[in-house]
Amino acid sequence: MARYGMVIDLRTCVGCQACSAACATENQTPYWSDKWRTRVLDIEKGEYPNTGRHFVPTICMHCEEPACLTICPSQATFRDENGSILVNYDTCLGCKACMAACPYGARYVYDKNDVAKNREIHGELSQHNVVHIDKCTFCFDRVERGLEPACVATCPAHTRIFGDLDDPNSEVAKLVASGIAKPLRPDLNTKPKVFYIY
Amino acid sequence: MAVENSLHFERQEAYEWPLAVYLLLGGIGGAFISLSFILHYLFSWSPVGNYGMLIGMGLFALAGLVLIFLDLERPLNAIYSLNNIKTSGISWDVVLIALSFGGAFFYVLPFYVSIPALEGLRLFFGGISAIAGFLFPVISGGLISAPVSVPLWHTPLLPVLFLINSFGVSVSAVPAIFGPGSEILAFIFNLAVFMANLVSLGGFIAFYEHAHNGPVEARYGFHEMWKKFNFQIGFLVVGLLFPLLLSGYMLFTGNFLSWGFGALALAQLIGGFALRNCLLKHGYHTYPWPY
Ligand code: SF4
Ligand code: SF4
Repeated sequence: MARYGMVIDLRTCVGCQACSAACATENQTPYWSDKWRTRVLDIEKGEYPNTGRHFVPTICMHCEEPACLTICPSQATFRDENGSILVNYDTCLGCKACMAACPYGARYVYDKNDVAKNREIHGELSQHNVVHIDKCTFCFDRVERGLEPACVATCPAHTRIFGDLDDPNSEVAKLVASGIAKPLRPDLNTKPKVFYIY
Repeated sequence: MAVENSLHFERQEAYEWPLAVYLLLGGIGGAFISLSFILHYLFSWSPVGNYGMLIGMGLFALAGLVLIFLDLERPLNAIYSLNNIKTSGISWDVVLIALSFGGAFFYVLPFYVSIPALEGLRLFFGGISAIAGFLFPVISGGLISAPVSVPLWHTPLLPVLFLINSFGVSVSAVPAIFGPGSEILAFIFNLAVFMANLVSLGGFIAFYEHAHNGPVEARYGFHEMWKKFNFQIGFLVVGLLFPLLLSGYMLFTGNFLSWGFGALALAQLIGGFALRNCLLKHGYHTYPWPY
């Protein structure tokens, strides 16, 4: 079994949002309600003339100690054999406790309007047929087929690097081991498996 | 998550007013059941043991309905919440309501039908029901305060404030509904309400300290809350200062006004909702990004 993780290199991100678009297409996420599994923050900082503009792609961190998993009353949120944190659409109550508990803003409600709109667009091919909490899955179905997650495959700047953190020869494992890629807010103790270079 | 004012302050959107109503009704329901059991057991006060328990059960039922039909996105899936008592505090909350409600049911039943087999177990059911009822506001407050994602909530003071408020309402409502019983009981009820509000005031001051010494998101949320009419009038004036002054007046003059306990119960009920709702509304997420 693998232990999948991601490194996001903020030095190279150009803010093109191709990752958000690719994810929305691949996973039928409700872009019409401005809900995204991955979005790119566009942050301006500083006072003129010392200003800076930063692009920060955000995503579920697939934490090792996920706050969302321990609070879930129905075991709808679970960890798969590769350590990724997923949601079982059928047993989710929509209590939103996981949304409140996640410190990285990774979750949203796929509500009944979104389900209806998605059906209208995708018909029989709709992936979201019931109301549920939605979040990044590390595109487990693509990964099972030997592909990279959609956001990684699409990124033109090699900002997103995906792989097995337990494989010492993988690029992600090397970047994390070198210390250049760091988790965000490790003080929150959720042990993210997404690391940032900044 | 909506972006408000700047990227640093993103208001949580998971919990809204139905959850505040659930916390309030459930907390008061639990407190009512615990208090009714104690008053019946220690003072053989039958009407309270009977109708007080029924009121508590009604409040629990109402709390459950509000949660299921106004808060949950998938009401029918509520059944799965019994699935995870090993790890999820929310499941414990549901189990506590079920235990307290069920225990109260079997405690009250002998008032209506004679079931000899139940008589010997009555104390057991009442005890379970009272303990679970007492724990409900503690655990539900703890659930809100446990995650690190909303720094304003991340303090053990939250369950304490919820617990005291729930008992404050119930201790005022019992004499308002059933009559104070006797001069000495009226004094005890009044003293309990006064002490509850004094501790609430202390708890609130400690909460103010927590918000001010905490992360910037906690300070921001608290300042936003502080400016709101609902908070100033609903919680601080109606829910805290008024009950403190009125119960203090009745306590130190010995003049137990006929409307006093009713007014105390109502004021703390309004204050309890304002407190819970304002806290939920002004929870801002921790800022995790590097810029
Ligand atoms: S980032 Fe949030 S949703 Fe993702 S695993 Fe961690 S706590 Fe859960
Ligand atoms: S909303 Fe669904 S996934 Fe989230 S905690 Fe509730 S039941 Fe679990």
